[in-house]
Amino acid sequence: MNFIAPNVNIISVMPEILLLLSGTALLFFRNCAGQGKAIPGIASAAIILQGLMIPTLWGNNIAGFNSLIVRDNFSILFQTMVGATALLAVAFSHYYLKQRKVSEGEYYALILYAVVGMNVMIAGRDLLVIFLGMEILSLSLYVLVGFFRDINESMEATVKYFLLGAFSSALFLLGIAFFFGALGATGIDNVTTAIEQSGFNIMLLMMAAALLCTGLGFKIASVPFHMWAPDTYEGAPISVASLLSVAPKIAAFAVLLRIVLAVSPATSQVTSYTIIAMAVASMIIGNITALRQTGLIRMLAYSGIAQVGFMLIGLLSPEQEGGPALMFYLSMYILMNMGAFGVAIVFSMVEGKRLLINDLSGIAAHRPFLSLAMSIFMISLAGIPPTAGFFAKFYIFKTAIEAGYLWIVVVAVIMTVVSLYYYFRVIMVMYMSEASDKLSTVSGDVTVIAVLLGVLAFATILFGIMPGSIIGIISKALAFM
Amino acid sequence: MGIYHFFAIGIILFSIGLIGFILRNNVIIILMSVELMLNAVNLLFVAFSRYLYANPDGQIYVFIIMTVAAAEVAVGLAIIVALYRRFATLDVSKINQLKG
Repeated sequence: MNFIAPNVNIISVMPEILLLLSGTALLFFRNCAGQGKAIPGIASAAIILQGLMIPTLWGNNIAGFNSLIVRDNFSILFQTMVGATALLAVAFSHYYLKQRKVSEGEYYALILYAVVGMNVMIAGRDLLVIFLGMEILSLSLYVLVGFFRDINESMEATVKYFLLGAFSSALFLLGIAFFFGALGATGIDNVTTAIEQSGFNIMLLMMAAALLCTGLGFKIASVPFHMWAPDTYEGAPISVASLLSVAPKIAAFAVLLRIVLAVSPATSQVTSYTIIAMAVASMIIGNITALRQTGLIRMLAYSGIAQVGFMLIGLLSPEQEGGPALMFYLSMYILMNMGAFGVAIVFSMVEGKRLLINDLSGIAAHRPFLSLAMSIFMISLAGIPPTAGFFAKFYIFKTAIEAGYLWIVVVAVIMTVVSLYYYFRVIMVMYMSEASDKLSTVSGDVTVIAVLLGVLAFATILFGIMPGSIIGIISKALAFM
Repeated sequence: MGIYHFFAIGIILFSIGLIGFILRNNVIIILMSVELMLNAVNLLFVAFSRYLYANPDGQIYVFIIMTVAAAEVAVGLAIIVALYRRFATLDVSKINQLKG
């Protein structure tokens, strides 16, 4: 046993320190700062600032804490995506919370802590560090989901999310224990060296891979670990649901990609079977169940489960084109899913209760801009050109065919056709139904959120016409892996 | 007493927690089951680190995991208190307003 003084290298965690400090400051000053734009302003400033710090580390592979945390280009890209999502969620939250009397300081502090957790998950090179990041993220989200504790649905959502989240953490932890049993260390890179020296217990490593995939499967809400997602999204504040439906998935996919890349040479069959099962089940069950949903948020939740199924296909050939295709899909998923939730937030501001798809009937006559944006997001989620969603699906399918998984692509294409029905029903209802009075007047100032939604819709079209630039950046980031 | 004894007892404890999580309806007992699962993992870590590898990493991980478990219980009990105030019950089968 030899004790090595840790080489902390504080630069490597500067963005997280910034977020933690500003989050804690928000907790202290929640009553001092005048109600209004100050608190969300500070929160978004912190996220933007850490977002500016992260790219300065590009290409340097800065390591901290004895290489427990490594900021390679891969993690920088994923962290930028998380930051962008969190920023959108903060902007949406501002509009959502304005209607309700809550103390905003804790709310935004928890969002910042969740971003810290996700950053740690993404940059972590050791399973235990990843686990700690996952817990920071989860504990913040449990509280955020149940933030309105005088609403029954919110409490029910948070209890379901908490119990299943804690359960998945325990499974993930058992996976880490088996991983430690197999290799004698918990670093992800240890697998590669162990394979070269063939010094590991293959049975334990296989069980570890399956359990780690299970634990992360809960976080990305893939079938059969999706039960919490629809209830939680529906019960949670919609602004939290928007964050919950995108950001943890990005972080969990980053971890999955790292783990699959590391262990697949040793346990190729087990990991790919696990992923195939999760992908196919998510696509089929997510899409079929979404067909009969009447609630908008619930429909989006099942659509999210289905989208995760498509993304998982990218993990089947991670070392070839699957990794970049998955990252492209994730970045486009931010645009279209956050956009759809943003529109839902604007509409939900009127009524304050459960938003049904039929409530949107005839809304196009009163809110032509929002309806157009929603239509673009729905078309993109369905995967129809010329939107970003089409190229996201196209790249994923292409990599799967190249890797020899033709039958999965056939299933995926059939399920894409099925998904057209429920995405287009939203557009149909908005444009072709008789106007209902329920939502016809959206009150309040929605300038900022409208501008954001416009940018998102524009980007969805733009990357659908020229996806090459994003693909170029992503390939560069993955060249190091 | 060797690695297999500790491995077996760790797996058995984990399974008891798993079964409790699935079968019981009381939120507090479900939370206790999850804690049992976490502690079973702790036992596995110590066993692996003591018998398979001559490094103490696994024993140090236990402290980290205990801290995480404590944080999880703190948040969990707070949620349960708030839940009880709304629903006046801790039976998860009776808390089902969200459906679809």
